[in-house]
Formats: sequence, C-alpha cells, structure tokens
Amino acid sequence: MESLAAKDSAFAEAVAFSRLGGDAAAQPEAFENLLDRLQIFAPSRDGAPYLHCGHASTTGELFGRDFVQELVGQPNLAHDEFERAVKSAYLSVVAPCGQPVSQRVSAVLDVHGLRRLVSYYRLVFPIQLGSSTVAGCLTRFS
Amino acid sequence: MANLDFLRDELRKLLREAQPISEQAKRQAVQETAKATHSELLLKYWLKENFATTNLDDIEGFALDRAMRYMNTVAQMLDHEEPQEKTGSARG
Repeated sequence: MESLAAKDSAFAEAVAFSRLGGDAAAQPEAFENLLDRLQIFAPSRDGAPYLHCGHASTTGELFGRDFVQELVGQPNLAHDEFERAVKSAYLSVVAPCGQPVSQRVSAVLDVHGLRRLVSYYRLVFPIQLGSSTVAGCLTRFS
Repeated sequence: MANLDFLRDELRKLLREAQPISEQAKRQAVQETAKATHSELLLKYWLKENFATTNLDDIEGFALDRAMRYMNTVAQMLDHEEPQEKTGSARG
C-alpha cells in the first residue's frame, strides 16, 4: 500500500481514508474527493455490481464518460474471466476485518470493439455506507 | 411476511394507478432514500455528472424519473449487500 501511496496522491488519500476507518459519513470530504477516480462495487453472493464509477477512473478513461454514467447497477463489463479474477478482492475486503488489497492488474479487454492490453495498479478497500460495507477500487494505469 | 410484502406491493400499485405522483413527492422519495441508504454523496455526484447540478429542485420530468430509477437501483444494491456474518467466508 505504501508503494501505491507514493505513486499517486489519490492513492495516498485513499490509504489515509481507509486507515481512519473508511466510513463515508465520518469523512465526507475525503470520500467526496475520491469519487472522480473511484469505482465502488456492492458484492454479494450474486455478483459485484457497480454502485459508482467516477468519470476519471481507469474505466472512465477507457470507455468514456457516457459509458460510465450508465454503469450503476450493471453486473460487470462483460468480460467474464476478467471479472471473476478481479471480484475476489471485492469480496475479501468486505469480509469481517477485511483489509485493503493493492495489486497490479494486466488484462486484454474489449474496448468498444477493439482488443486492448490494459495494465493498471489498483487499491481495493472497504467503504462503510451506513450499515453497508462496499468495496472501493481506486486505479491508475501503470 | 411474504403476504405483507405482497399487500404492500399491491398498495403501491393501487396508489400509482389512483393518482399521479407529484414531482415534489418524487424529489422527497429520492432524498429520503438517499438518506436512508447513506448514499447522499453518491447521489450528489451522479446529479452533477448527469445534469450539471447537485440540486434535485433543478431537474424535472424525464430527468427526475431517471433520478428515481438511479436511487432505486442504489437502494436495491445496498439492501442486497449482505453482511459477511450471514454469508460466511466469501474470500475468493
């Protein structure tokens, strides 16, 4: 996590937010400042649909602003193997005592009909919204 | 419990058919749902991205209906989000 925080100020802000408990109500300004870059998922037994996707997230940069505005409630980006691989971290961080996960992810994704090799760093961390724990995912292309 | 849910759904259906919902009632429903699900900041961001405002009073008609659908989707996800105490270990 420290190495990610050193790479980018948004990662540093997310790490600080997470260390202070990751509660959106307790740190509204910090949470709001992250939203442009943040993706949030609501994992359950049935999947991990998008609860939020900021326009400056890597998904926003890859697929465009119009695309991410329609993502809320969608199960995934329709890349099943990729989704299965990345979803495990969302489930682990919302488990009791779940800890943030920092990773480098590389995958070939279909972006509006073009296959692209995508590589990025991500920090996945629990976010408390009232009594619900959801998974925040902050990313940056590597 | 299932019976109660059925009755509640029926009531909602009847209310919908009996009288159109005012725009103010829609705004109130969106705001109350956001508050109940602690997603006010997500709603604020969504409004800004989609309608260049953070004030629900600035939108109406189709835009307001879209805000209702957004809020309903968010509420369903947070409602379905199950604490891990119920689901056991879900580490992948």
